[in-house]
Amino acid sequence: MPKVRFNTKIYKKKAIQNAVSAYSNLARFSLKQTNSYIEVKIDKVSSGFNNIIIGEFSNYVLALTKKCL
Amino acid sequence: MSQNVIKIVLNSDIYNLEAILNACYAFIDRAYVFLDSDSKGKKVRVSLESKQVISAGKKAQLRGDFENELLYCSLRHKIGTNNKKIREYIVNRAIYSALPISSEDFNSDALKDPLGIAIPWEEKYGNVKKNNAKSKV
Repeated sequence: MPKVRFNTKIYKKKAIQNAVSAYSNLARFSLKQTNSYIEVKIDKVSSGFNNIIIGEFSNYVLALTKKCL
Repeated sequence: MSQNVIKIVLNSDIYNLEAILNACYAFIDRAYVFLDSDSKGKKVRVSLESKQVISAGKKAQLRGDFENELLYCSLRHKIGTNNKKIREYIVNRAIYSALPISSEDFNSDALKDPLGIAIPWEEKYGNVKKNNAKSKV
């Protein structure tokens, strides 16, 4: 199961949540918050998106975080 | 896959986080960008993974382009911060001057004409001229 960790000093929680809801039709996401990270686990990825979903999702979170500033 | 990854460590005392985010945002069409920082938040680690397989030369070019963009964004951020007050002043001035005159400002004193400037010339001297013309005849 692929997972990605976002540092809360850089990424906004709201941006991650919005990105999850935007990508929810492509995969199943589960969020877990630790001290300074939000861990996003991704599974049940739609076929054809396996290789790119983590990268594209990270880019989308980055774009939303920039928008939040 | 790891051949396409470029890792850069930045000092957040030199590069503002907002400038780093702006520079990264400019590259999301060419690479998958991921950011992380150390526990103190002093160092920001940027990971750029090219979306396509690239040669070593192109990789170096991507790195150089990113560093240039970072410098540009950092400078823009600095100029924006330095000019913040003057920008606010200019906008405030523009908005204030565009406001309609309120009825409080437009009181009866404004309509007074002690020197008779508002009286038309014909009204003020018209009769005198006519009288002069009659006296000449």
